[in-house]
Amino acid sequence: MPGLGSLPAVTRSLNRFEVISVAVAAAGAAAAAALALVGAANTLVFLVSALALVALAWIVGVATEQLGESAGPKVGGVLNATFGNAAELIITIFAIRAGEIDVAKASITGSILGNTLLVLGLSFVIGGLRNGIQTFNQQVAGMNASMLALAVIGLGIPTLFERVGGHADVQAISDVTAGILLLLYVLMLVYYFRTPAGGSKLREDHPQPHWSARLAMVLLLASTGAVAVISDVFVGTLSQVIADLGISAVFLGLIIVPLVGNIAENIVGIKIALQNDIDFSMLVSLGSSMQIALGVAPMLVFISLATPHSFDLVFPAIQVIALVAAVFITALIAADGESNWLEGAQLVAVYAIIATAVWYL
Amino acid sequence: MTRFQKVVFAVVFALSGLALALRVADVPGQVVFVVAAVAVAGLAWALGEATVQAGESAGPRASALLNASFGNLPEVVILVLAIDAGLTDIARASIIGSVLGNVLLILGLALLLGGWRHGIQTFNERVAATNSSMLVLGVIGLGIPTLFHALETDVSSELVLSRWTAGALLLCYFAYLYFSFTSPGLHFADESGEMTWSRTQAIVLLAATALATGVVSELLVHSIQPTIDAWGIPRAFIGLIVVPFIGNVAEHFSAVKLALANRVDFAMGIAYGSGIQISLLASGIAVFASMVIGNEVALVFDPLQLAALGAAAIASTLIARAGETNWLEGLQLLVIYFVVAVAFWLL
Repeated sequence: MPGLGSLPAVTRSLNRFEVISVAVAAAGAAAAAALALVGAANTLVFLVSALALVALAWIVGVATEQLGESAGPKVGGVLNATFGNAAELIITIFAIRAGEIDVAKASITGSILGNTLLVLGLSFVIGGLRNGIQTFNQQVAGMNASMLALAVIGLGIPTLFERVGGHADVQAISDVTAGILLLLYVLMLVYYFRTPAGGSKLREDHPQPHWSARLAMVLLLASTGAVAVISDVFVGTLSQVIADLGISAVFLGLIIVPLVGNIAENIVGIKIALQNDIDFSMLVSLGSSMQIALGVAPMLVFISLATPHSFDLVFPAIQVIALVAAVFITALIAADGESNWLEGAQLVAVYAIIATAVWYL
Repeated sequence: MTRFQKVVFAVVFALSGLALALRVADVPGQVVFVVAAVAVAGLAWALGEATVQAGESAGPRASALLNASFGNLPEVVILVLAIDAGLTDIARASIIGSVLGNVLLILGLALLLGGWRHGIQTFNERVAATNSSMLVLGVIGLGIPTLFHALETDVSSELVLSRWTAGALLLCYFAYLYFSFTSPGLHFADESGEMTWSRTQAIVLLAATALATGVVSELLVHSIQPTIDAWGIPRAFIGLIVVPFIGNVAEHFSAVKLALANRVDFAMGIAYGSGIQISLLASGIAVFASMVIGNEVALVFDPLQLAALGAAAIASTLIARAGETNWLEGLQLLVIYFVVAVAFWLL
């Protein structure tokens, strides 16, 4: 398989970096918590807690990877599938708990849009400029694209029924749809683990973990806990940020929150594309989108039952249409088994236009 | 210059003069419209010939660039003049109609006739893939401000969004041009025609045709309203079907000719290239030109027209993805175009 040789380099080169980022994350988290306690200016708390979350999300990702490496590929895959978007899941749960349902919903669509358009697009642009036309496994990409299309259909149907069928019991439709999507997510994991050519097997022959299992476990738990605490702080600042800075809730949810939860992963995806392993890069971006659509979104429906606010799968129409457009153009681009910088530029352009539209909405 | 070219150029310039004379003589608008329409169609062809000849003397790169910029000049001129004349609904419809005409009517006709004569025709899938995803990008770009308009009817932010979108689309168009010129295997060389004109002759004729196109387009645009009044043709039909058809006649001939010569690659290149140029470049020019004119147009389209555009993009994408074409596929595209045309006639 192409590019596998470059993977150890990725992991090892992060080594020194990891120490720094753990320090940054810890300092950022402490600063955010302290600022929130002393009641500093809201915008400052927002910015510091956002930065802390970026660093923490990064640690969660690295710790998951390291733990997965010492636990073997199967357990590692399950871990990745569970904790891959843990930061986002936690932020969104806190947003729901705080009653910021618009932000929470927009952050779901925003994550998918960001991963399939911005991250994949930038990967194609940067990888294509450096490496010319890049080829990838058409079968895996095609399956990912169709899975993503299915996820979007799943997310779209409750919205459609809410719009057209006036008397439809939207909550019931949402609950059942969420259950089906979750089931599908489990089936997808089973498929990957049982199919030799499945996407996650790309990373099978891993380098030796350079963290001990105990260290990885401790860091994973600590960073996940810290994400929860800082998410609470972060979400608490949102309504004031909306009022102070004049940013709409939808823009905040669609563009800013996904960036905070995802940016670390995004950088990894782009870096991998630069190393000409576009297969793995697509797996990171499309896989993350699928996790959000099939895993995080339905889980939120059930988790919200434990909060005073209910989260259903009814999204604003413009978001569903943006999702459909994104998935359509991504599927089109994934279908031919090769990518170039122009295709990447197309994806980024769609993202930019959607972001502009939401900004002015 | 061949004998045929001489005759056609003479006829085209004579028709242009006739249109101008009719306008000055104040004959009914619909007569001016018909004469001007025929003249514009002829001028579009003459412009293509002059561009090719001027390009031959300037080298292949300059030639491709010339083709890319002058290829749809009549459409762009009509578009800008229509905005200037306050016919913004017709201008907007003509953007969509021109793309529909290119990817449904021209491509459909080329595939039908080419496939009928040659059976299954194959083409470069890579070029077609780039073209079709570029077209989809154009449709998405044109669609988002419309969607936005449906949700938020604040006109000022709508205009701002239009400008940003138009800027992004223009940027993508230039990236696409740069990409097609620099990527080996994607750039398909133009027919290496023999240079039959002298350089001066080519440049003079190019300038003369471009000028005549401007004048006659102005006549055409100003006779649209009288024609609608006189014959009762639906406005949407004029904008969506008639105006784009006038600007596209020349492309019909060259695409069909190429497909009949079993060069379906080139035929698809013309149809897609022209559709991409309209949806990314002409729409951007329309937005920025309308700012200068002072009658700013947002990229907000009639949802029905946009739906037709979406259907056209999907249908032609499916065909571009197959790597080969046959006459049935051409027929399918034509049927979609026919149904759309009938729908807008009855609307």
